[in-house]
Amino acid sequence: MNSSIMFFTISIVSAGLTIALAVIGAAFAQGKAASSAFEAMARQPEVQSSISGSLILSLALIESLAIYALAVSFVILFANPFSAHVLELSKIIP
Amino acid sequence: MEMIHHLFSYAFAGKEFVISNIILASFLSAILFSLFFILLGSAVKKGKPKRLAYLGEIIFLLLRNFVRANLGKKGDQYMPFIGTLFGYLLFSNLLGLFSPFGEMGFPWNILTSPSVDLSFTLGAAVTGFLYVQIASIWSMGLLAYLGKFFKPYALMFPINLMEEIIKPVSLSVRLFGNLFGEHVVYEITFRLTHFGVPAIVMVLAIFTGSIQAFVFSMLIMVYLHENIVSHQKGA
Repeated sequence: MNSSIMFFTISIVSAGLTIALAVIGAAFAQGKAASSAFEAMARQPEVQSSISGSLILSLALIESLAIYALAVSFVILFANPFSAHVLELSKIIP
Repeated sequence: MEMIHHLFSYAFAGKEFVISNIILASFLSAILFSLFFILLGSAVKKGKPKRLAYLGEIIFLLLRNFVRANLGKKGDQYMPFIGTLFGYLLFSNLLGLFSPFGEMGFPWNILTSPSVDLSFTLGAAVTGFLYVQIASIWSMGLLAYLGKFFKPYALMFPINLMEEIIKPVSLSVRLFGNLFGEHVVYEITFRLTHFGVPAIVMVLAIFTGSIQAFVFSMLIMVYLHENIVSHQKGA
């Protein structure tokens, strides 16, 4: 039973670590995008609505990279393809 | 966290298929969306309930400006599909706001957002992808469409092909991930807190749902733009 407990522990920890690391990168990129958009809006207030539209679109596109990592995390937690195999092996190997 | 309930199952061509509450929820979303816009359309045509007619015209002008900003004046022919896709996804995402009621024993658990299922978002993404390919073949011709894959170098054919195939995958995973994550947060907030506090998360859910529908249809328009308009202008 020891190795199956280790498998599940490591998979839970890695699922949490996946999304945490991905969100760090996404937060940095979104901050940089938003800051340059605000600077452009302050420089030229009449293009504000077009810059806002582009800003929302690019924020959502950057966010989607973190969402890919979230999807991998969901797969590890909820639809782990190896857990059945590990449980079956743990009955054979003590 | 059990959002997909298998309701009926039937056998077809030797395999077992299941009708889940997500399918019925997507039908509900389609019925609500159609009824709302049929009502608005008849109001605009007859001019009769004035406020509905104004609302219909405002929505039409917003949609037309949205499509024209990306596709130009010739993009008016793509406006019905983009509008339907955007509106249907918006209704589907906003239906997720009713999910606590949907799980309190509503018959068949229909009142959930269909976008929390990857099958639904994959269906929407494949539909948009097929529309873009067919529209670009219709506009460019089959030879130019096939030649597009060999464009900078003939050896870049696998990379171009993979880029085309990954587009519906990324669209579907983006929509699914955002809506599923939002649904989890929403449900947890309803379990943990009681009066008035879920309203804040409701605002976030409305915001996220609208933005994701907007980004989905905007990306479909960008894919159309790079296949059609750039060929017509010759640039």
